[in-house]
Amino acid sequence: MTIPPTIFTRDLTRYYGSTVGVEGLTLEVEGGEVFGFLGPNGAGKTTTIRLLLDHIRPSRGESLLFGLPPHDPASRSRVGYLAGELALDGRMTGAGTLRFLAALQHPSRKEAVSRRREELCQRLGLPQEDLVRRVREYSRGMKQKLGLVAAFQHDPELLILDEPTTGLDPLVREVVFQLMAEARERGATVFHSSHVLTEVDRSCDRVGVLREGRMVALLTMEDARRAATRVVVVEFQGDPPLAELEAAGLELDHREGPRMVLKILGGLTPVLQALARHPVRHLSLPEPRLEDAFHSLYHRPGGGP
Amino acid sequence: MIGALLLRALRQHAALLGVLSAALLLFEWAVVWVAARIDMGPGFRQLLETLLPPDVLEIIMGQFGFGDFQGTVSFGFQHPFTLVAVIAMVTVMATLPAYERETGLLDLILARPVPRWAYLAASAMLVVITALLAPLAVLGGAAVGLLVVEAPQPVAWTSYLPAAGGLVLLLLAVGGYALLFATDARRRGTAVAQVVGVTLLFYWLDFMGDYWDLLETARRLSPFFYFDPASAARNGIPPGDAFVLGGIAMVTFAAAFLSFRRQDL
Repeated sequence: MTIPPTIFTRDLTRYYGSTVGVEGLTLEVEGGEVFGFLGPNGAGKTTTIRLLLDHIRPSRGESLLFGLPPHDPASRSRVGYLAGELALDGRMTGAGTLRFLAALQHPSRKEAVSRRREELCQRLGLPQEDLVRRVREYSRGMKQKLGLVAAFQHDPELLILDEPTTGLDPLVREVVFQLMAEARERGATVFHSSHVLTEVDRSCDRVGVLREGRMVALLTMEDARRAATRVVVVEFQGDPPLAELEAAGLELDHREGPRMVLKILGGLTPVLQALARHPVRHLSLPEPRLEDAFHSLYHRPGGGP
Repeated sequence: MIGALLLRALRQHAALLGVLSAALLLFEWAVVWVAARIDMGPGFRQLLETLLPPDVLEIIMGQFGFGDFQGTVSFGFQHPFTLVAVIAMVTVMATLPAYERETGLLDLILARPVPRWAYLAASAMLVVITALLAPLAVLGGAAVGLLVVEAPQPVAWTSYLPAAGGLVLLLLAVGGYALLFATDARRRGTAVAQVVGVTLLFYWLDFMGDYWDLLETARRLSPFFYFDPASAARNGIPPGDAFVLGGIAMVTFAAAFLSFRRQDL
């Protein structure tokens, strides 16, 4: 028996009147994968998530979670969800909110979920004295931590995280990345929606890039890095030999004081050979920036995967 | 699952339900107390006959049941204070789905394996509980009043059970259309405005139907037409009235479930 992909969509489309929410999205995310869902605000990331969770209905196409249609509640029993714009009931306490959401998810696994909840609260920095307070007294960051605990507390097989690090300090962000890595280690799938490239870069195996509701790229992080433009930062002792550098496959991107940032258009060897012929005061070769690759995808007209 | 949803909603609204129920109980107790004083006072009926034109007097004595002590006590079940309080309670409960959609909490709840029907069933049960609790409070006020107040004529509190039953049916009908509006509204304010507007229209239709022949047929569209606590206290609820109010409730609850099943959140 073949195991269906954790997330499957085919031609998934949703229009809001004449506006495209998401159009023609075809995607498969396998079990144990951390999938980055990248795009600027309004690209259709949240619309896709809402379609997967049956919050809205598609204009055409279909989606399946664990091989089940979204309107089947069983498809959501294995999901942990963190909303991008997290809404909690301000009148409830933090602890009450977590217990309530756990009761809706897995009422039979009360003790196991409770133990996991305590551990998560400790790791994310939600002490008991905060948990007994009403949620309306929480800061943005504390609400986000509460949302993260709610998403992770039942060790779901699929985590759908919409901008999970919003409002968190760097230390807590680290914990979130650890939790995502641990989830992957135990075989869970993580669907990480974000507009922060560096976060996707460090957490994901594969990335889909959305632009104006359409998937414009679907590639592994390895391929994404390979596709990214590399640059070299160099400072010469004398006048820069621009013509020679251009001939070696370099193009001036911009200057940072006396240093030049040059794009490497071809191979690395002729570049190093050209640079070796001139006295150099500073030379650095930063890691390829995914940002450049994705910026070109965002701005390229009519891109496709 | 439905239990968790219902329990949370009840906890959140416990204060509101408690305070309004207590207010209704006290108010009805006060109605009994006043009724005993009026009926025992000399010449009250003659005073009304002197002050009011005959047709108005007929309405007050007939529709509102001011003819005797028993009728005056039943007036507490349809006094504007009672009606406003009980309808407000039901409206608050029934419009909870609109509130949770407005705040985004509904997304969080329905991202769990909660079927939409189960979510709405919890809301519907909340409406039913409120529709039972509020008339029970009024009935409790009548019972306490009849126990402690020296009544001019012996009246058993149980004779008001049909009046309370009529109020339950009326509230279920109002709760039904309130729930239907709430499943369609993106904001609670919108749903509440719709409920208030429609309820005022229904009340006006029924009230004015007594005075204006033109509305004689139209008033039958109003649920208030089928709610007559004074008559119910004496003769029980006419089966036809119970059927209509129950029918409105069932149809509107069913429509709310159908509407919510298809809705985008």
